Amino acid sequence: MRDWHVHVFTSTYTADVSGVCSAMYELGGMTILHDPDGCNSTYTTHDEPRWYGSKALMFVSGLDELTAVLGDDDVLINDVCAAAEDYKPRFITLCGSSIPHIIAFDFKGVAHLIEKKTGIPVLPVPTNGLRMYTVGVGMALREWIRRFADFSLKPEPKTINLLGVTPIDFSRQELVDAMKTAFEKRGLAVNAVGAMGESFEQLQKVCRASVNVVVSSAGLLPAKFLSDKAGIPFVEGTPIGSFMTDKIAEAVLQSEKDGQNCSVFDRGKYLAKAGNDEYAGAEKTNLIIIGEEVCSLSLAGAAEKVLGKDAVIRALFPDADEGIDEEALVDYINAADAVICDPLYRNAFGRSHAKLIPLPHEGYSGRIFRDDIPVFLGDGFDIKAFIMGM
Amino acid sequence: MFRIAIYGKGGIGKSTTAAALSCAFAEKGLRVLQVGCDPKADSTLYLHGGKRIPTILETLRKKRTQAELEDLVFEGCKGIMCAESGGPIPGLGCAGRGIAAAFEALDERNAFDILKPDVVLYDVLGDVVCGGFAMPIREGYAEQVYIVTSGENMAIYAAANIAMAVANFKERGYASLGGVILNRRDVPDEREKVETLCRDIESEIVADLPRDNMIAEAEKTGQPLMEAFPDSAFAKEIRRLADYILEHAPQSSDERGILYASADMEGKRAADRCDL
Repeated sequence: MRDWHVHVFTSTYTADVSGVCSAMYELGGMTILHDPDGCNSTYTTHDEPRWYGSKALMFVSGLDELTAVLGDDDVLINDVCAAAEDYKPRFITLCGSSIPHIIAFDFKGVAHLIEKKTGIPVLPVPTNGLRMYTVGVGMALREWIRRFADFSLKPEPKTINLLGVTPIDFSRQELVDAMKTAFEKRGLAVNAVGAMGESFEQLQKVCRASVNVVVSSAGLLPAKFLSDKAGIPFVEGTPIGSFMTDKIAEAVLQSEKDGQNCSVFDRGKYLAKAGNDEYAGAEKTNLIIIGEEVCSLSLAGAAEKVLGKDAVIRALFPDADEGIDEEALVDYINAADAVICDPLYRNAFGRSHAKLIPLPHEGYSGRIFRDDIPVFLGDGFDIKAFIMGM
Repeated sequence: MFRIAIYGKGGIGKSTTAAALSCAFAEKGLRVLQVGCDPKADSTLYLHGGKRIPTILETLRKKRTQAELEDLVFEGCKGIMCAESGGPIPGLGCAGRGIAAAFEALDERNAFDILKPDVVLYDVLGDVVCGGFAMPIREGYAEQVYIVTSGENMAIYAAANIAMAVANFKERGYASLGGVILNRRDVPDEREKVETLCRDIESEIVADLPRDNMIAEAEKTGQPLMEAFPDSAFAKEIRRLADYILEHAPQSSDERGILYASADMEGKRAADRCDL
């Protein structure tokens, strides 16, 4: 395993702490980011499109050096209790950045103490600020479901949840609505969306679904938790265009029948090897897709339907810890005819003649290209026109 | 599953006690996991014939996320599963954070669900000096703390500090104090001094381990004392301590009954399983 990755001209993906805040934004809680503040403003300026349009209780603890070194948790505990007294949130989420991680801050223990003092449920989400948003979204949703879901509910047939849904991947509510409409058109009722455009009460009924659809890798942790704890199987896939939505709908019915977890894409076929011992240079491809894992693999499946089975299509997605290996990224871009990626990747094209097909991703370029994000989900998305530029 | 942590001043005999306890539990037919939480990584030395096992942190440094559970946990004498957290290069890095990272690595690989130990022993370096060294007593890890001390003043001060930390952390849902293990150095009025400590920290002496040269003799052979001198006075007292610990597992623990059932039904089989 290589333990070095050089990043010269690529950006970083949104961090796990922003993922936590994003997942919890609409559920009526108060989120505490335990951190010295400062560069966490990127959450509000780049990662959270809802920030200026609606209210949410997001706080940074303002951890300072002496408090960290002395392990003086009372500072945080007292501040959170005071804020809870003022705002009376329904629940509190406690996550942290790299400094609490390095001093082995006791998320669970402090959550116990705050809960005892305030009587408000506190969810410990031990992020470290070093991993991708998908991890933060996943951990936060899993903890929320563990604490608040009604596990006495029985699954109802042809009913699904959409897991891993936040603006970091799906930017606008319009895109989430497109997903819901596409599934409902195929006779699948959308029970709950974790967590965008969703209420606390509806998400509590998450166990009413017979199958969970993991529409981004951020949904994998809660889906695995619900699979283990409540026996609800999951299907991995993003409903990009009619073809992939059909495939997901079929897989949902199959999973409902046999209880097995599955993916609607052939991971082994589309996976671009990069940044590990197996990487030995990029292969020549007709199309390379760069972006979040489940979306990229699903888009690869959708693109194959248009380009034909002989087309060489690969998905290159970031590792939650290491990001995307830049050497492999450049190799793949140089060896591709076309690349679907966030426009911020243009820096990596150099003298490559590959065609860049822009698909902005809030988790990579933040708000820069937000207005240019197409509604790439559901039946209204014409994948052929998107790829061919028609 | 029942989990305990062994704390005490450096050099007081924690690893010897922990390894002997692991052997005593294994003799009862229980599946045992011993986790050394010390950069020196010598907790499980004599459960592996005097040879060191690769530490979790050095394996993570080499293999990162590709390290599998079998790269981190190794079977030793009497079928005891052993792991050593390890630590940074002496004088560099952060040992406490290292223990936390090692624990996270075991969690991420679902170690407890896969290995299914009946008893887990955390053998922790010295005092509870920072967050990392408190990891073994946090929620989800040890349920009870046992402190090893002699009658020497410095050992007693350390024991008092550890007991205070355990009491301070009680509100957070941490482990409770199980008792004090007297490991004799044969200083004057030794038992009386430790009894005074116990009164101060509202605990009791749960074992009185004799000073025994057989321990050093056993180390020369690379064997744990329980294997080399199973009939020694030290070994007998350790078996009595193992019984005490099982009997005093938290009342709320569902596993308490299972522990007894396992110990009763499979009692003698582990004695024959030593690889050495």
